[in-house]
Amino acid sequence: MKTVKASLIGFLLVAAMGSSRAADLRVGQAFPKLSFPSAETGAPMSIDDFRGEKLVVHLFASW
Amino acid sequence: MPGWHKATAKEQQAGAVRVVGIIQEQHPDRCRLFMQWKSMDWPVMVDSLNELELTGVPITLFIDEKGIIQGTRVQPQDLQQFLTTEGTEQGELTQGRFAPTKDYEEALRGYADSLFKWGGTEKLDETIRLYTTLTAQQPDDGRNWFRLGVSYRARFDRGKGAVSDFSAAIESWRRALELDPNQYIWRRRIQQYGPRLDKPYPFYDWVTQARSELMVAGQQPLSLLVEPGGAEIAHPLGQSTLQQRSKDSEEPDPRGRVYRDEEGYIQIESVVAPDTSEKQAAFRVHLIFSPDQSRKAHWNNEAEDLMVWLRESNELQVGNRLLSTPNPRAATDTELRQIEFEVKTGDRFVPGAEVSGYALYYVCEGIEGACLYRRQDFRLSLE
Repeated sequence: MKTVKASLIGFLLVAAMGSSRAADLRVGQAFPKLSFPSAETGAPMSIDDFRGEKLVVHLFASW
Repeated sequence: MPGWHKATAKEQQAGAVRVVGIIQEQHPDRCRLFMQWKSMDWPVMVDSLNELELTGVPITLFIDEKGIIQGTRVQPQDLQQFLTTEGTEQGELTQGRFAPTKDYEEALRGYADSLFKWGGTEKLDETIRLYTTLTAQQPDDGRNWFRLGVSYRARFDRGKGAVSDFSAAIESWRRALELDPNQYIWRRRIQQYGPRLDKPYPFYDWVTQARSELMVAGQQPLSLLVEPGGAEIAHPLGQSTLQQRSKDSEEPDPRGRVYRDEEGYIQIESVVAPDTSEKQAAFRVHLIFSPDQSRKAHWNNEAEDLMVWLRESNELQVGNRLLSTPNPRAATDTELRQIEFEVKTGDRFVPGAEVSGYALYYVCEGIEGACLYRRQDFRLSLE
């Protein structure tokens, strides 16, 4: 159990340190390499998952 | 958003473009219901922690095949030009405060963010501990306070925390906003639970309409983890308008004759959500009532509703002084009950002023025990 816990922490630390943080969203910059939970399934998703496609990205709230 | 959806429907169907959303809300399931209601079936990601550090929404971006931003704050009429634009060779690397880091606090925050997103409910205690450590190490970084608040509220919503988690969320968001008053995503999180005088719009009043329209269309509305509370569906109040008082209600126990709940069958806790402006013109108070589980106390729903009577003072005004919440259909239950009210401050208000009143309720003792009508007085300070 301890090993599983240590592995999870290790994985999350690497994931946290390895990812570049979000950028100011300016024309000409790469969209930040951040993963977010899918609203539908909770599984990790990122803008990078859609490489090779043109995207319209809405940053919004339902209110 | 629905306007955009219509404008891009043809291009999406033809495979010329994909539409993706990222929401800045505490509750992802509410967004799911919104998407179902508006028949918008594109993928949506959840940035409850505000990792993108957006200060306001909505914003729409164009991103090309290589992941490079080609347009910000774009309009539907800009779409055709974007679709005919060649992709960029390579985008600039992300820079500045967002660049990859070996900084300990940045890494720790990244770890806490990951735990919140991927660790599930059972990791929320650890997430809160980490953000708390970060607020101690970097008290001037509002991101730590905001994310701590998000985690506290998540633990409260998932039924794993105490009412004090809700208070701690409001307090953490207040600290965050003090550090950056221009952060409107942070401000909205307080306003969601705050007074009507300070609301830019009703946040979730659309939920009822969405459900009803979906039912008429023969669809089962997606369920919500937590129903929007009174503050979350309340409409804004104009600055010059006082709260409407429907009628002068009669005080239910003016002579104080109802027996007090000296055994403490019901616990009353309060969460005070402030006005986010400096004026402190109003507060929204959430009173939360919970039966004492250790005594197996439970509500008697076959009797009258839970009632609250509020006292006014020279420096504080309330709307209706007599408030109640309807009993659920089940004969008895042990769920939390909430009653919300707003307090408008006058010119003589000083932080720490108290609002007081009492609650009247029917509570039953033990499984086969007696059901009792009890009164409990309360007093809370506003600051």
